[in-house]
Amino acid sequence: MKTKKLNAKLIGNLAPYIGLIAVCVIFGLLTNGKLYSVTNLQSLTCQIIVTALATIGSIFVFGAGFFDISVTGCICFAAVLGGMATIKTGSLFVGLIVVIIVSLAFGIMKGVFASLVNVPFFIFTIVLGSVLSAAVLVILGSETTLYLRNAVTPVREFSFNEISIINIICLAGFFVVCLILFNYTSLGVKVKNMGGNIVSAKQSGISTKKTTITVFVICAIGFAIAAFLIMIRTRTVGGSTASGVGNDVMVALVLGGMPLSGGPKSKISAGILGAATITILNSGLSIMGLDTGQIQIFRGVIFIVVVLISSFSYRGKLLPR
Amino acid sequence: MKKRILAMLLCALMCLALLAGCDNGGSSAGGGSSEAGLDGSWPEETIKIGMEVYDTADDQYLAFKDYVDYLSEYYNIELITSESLESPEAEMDFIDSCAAAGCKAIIGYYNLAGAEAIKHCMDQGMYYWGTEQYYDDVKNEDLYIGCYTFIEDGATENGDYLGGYEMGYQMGKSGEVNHIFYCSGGTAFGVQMFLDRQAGFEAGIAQAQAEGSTIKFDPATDIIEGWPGTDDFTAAVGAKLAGDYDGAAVSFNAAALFQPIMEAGKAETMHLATIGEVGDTYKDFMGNLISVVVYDCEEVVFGNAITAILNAVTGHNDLNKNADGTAAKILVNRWVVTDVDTYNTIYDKHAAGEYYVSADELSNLLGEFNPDVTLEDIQDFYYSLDVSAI
Repeated sequence: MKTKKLNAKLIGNLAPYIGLIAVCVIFGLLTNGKLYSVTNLQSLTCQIIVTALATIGSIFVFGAGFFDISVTGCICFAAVLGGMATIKTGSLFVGLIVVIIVSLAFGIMKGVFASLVNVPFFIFTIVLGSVLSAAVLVILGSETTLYLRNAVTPVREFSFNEISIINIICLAGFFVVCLILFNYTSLGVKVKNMGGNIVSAKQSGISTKKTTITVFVICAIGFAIAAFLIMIRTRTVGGSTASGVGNDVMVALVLGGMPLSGGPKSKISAGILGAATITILNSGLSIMGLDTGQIQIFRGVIFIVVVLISSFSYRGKLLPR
Repeated sequence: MKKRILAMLLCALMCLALLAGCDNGGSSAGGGSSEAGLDGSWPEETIKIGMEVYDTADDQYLAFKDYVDYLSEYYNIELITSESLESPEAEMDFIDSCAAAGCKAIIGYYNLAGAEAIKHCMDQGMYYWGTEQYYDDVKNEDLYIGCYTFIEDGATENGDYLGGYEMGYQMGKSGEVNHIFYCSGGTAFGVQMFLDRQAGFEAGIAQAQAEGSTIKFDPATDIIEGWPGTDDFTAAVGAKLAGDYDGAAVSFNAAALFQPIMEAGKAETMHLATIGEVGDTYKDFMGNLISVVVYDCEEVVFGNAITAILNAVTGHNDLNKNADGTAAKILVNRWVVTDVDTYNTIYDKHAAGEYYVSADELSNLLGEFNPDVTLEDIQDFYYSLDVSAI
């Protein structure tokens, strides 16, 4: 009996890896290797990067038990203000600074709200997301999209190769830092404890307010990098920038094997695994040329399979809230 | 454990069943007979075409997809469409996937990243067709193969303006409408196409009034902003229908007004104008509730993309270029449908799987089949297709 439980737990823990490998192999075969052409591999880094950065950052927030669905609004708002600053000054560096400042401001604001205001946090993020989307439209006014090519002085264009290298460096750097913070510092322990049961975390002497603000700041850094990379890749910003990232983050978290309720089962690898799985899945389905309906059904089935298997490792074992 | 294994097996079966059902149709089946001897085997290599779509449930997109499905029985072409694109980065991702899939060209039916998306497409070695608003940025590029346009040389108004104009002018000219309100969609949000449509509508009303129409329209009080699905929109429509209005022009899908009009008991007296499709949505309402449909016939407006792409990939890209080497625009007409007979004629033809640009007619526009064809021939052919000629 004990062996069976251990086997189920092992399968559950390995499910995200199995899922990723299965998706890679199956779509490699179904697309006759087109999925792994050099060009498409470069393109995959571009496609993975935004979801991966936002998901890795969000692991701290979700891991601590906060359900944040304002991801799209925050990234979009930061990208739009960063884009406007770049266009006004002609400097990408100024744009980067603005993106970071705006993103950190929202991170701190969310952290303070989550730690001080006794309102269900996800409701706050629903409202925040809507307000930010509306604010972007107000800021843009009669423009729907801003183009970096309209900057006062020409803004540097990055080649496909350069973008790929920048993406890999940013993702690797952010991932390593988050991995260390989450797995090898007391912050990770505090986050998992808070996500498991905030009352017991407080009774264990954890400063939940300080930890809460810290996790939102870390998450905001991920959002800022994501917003900046979107800006230099598409060279456009507008009301639709980063649309869909919020959903992708949640799907990636689950496909990566992390419970959305957070807690001790949270793992930083979920960000990379989940983002890679969903991106390769989407790319493979597009390359196959399937109808939209088939794509959605197929994606849904894969999602259910991975979630089902992943749940073997944590289903029924969460502490009561 | 047994239950888990059973669950996993069932999931695996679901995946396998789904994969078995997924046929990307790499090679097309031969179609019916054709004067040009087209049987779906030309060109030798399947020409994969990517298409950027903003809403995969949109009637116009589905109608165009049907047209390409029809053509694929005669030509060796395959259409790969995006999911409903939400963001510029999703658009870039789709273009990358098309390149990996071996697409030769992208149809810019929708564009979020502007000229950047077109350049990205061309950087990947694919032709790009469409999106007139970025024409000046890319017109000199070899891989940019043109777009459709509603605007004749020298005219300053764009297609959306002209669509709005026709709604206003036709409603005024009909003599059946005394007081009209206008649903402006995205005008309040600064969306350019809606701004243009509204400006066109107001100009169309003014022109009709100048020609003697007594139709009443006051932009200060007779415009409803926003889209259906909000309390504000519902309340505003309800208030207008409670008034003396007997006409409405809608800059988006007019079906949103059907129910409020029925509930207000004005189905017999209201007249609607819309920019929309000739399809199932309006069929039962045309001629009674709907008076004007400004319609972009898919095989004419968007179908010339297939002509341009087939010419480009078969070594006849010169047929897509003006004398000065810039990409050619294809001038097409918006079809203003104002009577039920015309509506039904178009509807019935499409329902029978027939089109105003048939596979045979298309072959006459291809350099491979008709070595004498010129760009002017192609432009003249598409411009000649108007609602008055059907």
